[in-house]
Amino acid sequence: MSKRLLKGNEASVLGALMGGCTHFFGYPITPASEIAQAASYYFTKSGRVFLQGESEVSVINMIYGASSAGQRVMSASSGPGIALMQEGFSYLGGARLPFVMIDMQRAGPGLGNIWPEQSDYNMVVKGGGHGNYKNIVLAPSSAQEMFDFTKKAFSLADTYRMGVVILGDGYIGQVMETVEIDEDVEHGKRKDWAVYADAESRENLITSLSMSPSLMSAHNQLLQDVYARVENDIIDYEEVETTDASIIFVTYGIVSRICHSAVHKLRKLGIKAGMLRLKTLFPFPKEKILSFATKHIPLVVVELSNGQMMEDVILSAKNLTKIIPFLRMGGIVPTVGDVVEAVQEEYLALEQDRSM
Amino acid sequence: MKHRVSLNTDRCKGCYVCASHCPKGCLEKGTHINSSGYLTISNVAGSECIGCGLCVLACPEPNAITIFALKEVI
Repeated sequence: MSKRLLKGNEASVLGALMGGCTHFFGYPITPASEIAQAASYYFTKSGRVFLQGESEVSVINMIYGASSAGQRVMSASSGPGIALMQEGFSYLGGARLPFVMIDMQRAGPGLGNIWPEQSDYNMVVKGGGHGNYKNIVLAPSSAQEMFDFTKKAFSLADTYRMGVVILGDGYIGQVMETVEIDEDVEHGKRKDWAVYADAESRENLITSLSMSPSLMSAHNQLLQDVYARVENDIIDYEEVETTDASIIFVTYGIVSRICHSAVHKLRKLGIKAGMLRLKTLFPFPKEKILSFATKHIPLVVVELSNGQMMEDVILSAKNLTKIIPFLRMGGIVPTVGDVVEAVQEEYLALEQDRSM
Repeated sequence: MKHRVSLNTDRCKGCYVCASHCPKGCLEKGTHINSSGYLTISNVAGSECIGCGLCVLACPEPNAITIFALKEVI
């Protein structure tokens, strides 16, 4: 264990090194450029492969190739780059190839700007590519989690043979914090399905093509079974003061840190607030949200998008409680004061409704 | 020791995070539009850089800002 002061972006590269990543294919884009920059330094120094593609499209296909050859591979990009890669995501999903992708979200649509937003949720969690595929999506909220989640992502990807996307945002990547570095390197093991250009793996075939509808149907069913297993195994979230809460924030990423402070401030003002911070977006903690909804606790969804995650919260809550949106777009991150003020107003209105 | 901020304005995306971090007010929104169409940052005339490096750390663009320590030539 050692401690270092790092940007979230650089922390994720160290996480990748400790997670046994051997190949980094990258293409720079603000606010994820430091990941490619740090990788070009650390990967080449430690005898691993760093290669800059000519575009995001070539990067995702390099990932397809290296992953087929049984290597632990990763890349990093932001909204516009991830959008370009979506065809590759679908192919990787179809061929069941493990990979790790970091998406440092920026404001959109189009070129947008380079400030943080959480508007890639639908593209990454629901799948921007074609077909019945999904990726595991992890949502870090600090530089430490950028390290931890990236390290963990490689073993998750190999275990389930699927992609893992780390959904950060501009702030998480740029913020500098102390990071505890766990220096045990977890190297990848030999995979029995990969093609290593040797006699043992000669029979293996990596493809997402299956011309027979019955075989394709069986393959799709297999994928859904894997996703069901993932939903059963790895749901992760953090609860803050939820046991006696009468109003609960549902949030992830950078805004969860604002909500964390808002919870303490609201409690000082006499409102029993709590927070559910999602660490995994797929699998989504539906049952946890339903358990709050069945107690009729109002849920405040704080998000930097037009309510993309809120749709999942509404689905999970099954109309049993009030969902209050607090949404900001275009790169504006709300302050603790903004959130507290909005919740106070809503809370008073709800109290009045109840007393009438 | 004197310091100088050197700006590679072709790399700048005009977010001005550097300007908001500079304790000496050495950087400001400029008037130059670069090849990518961004209104870039510029040096404030007569300001004194102390070489703290906060602008470099805050800037999200690798290699857009470099700080030089100036040596006196005798």
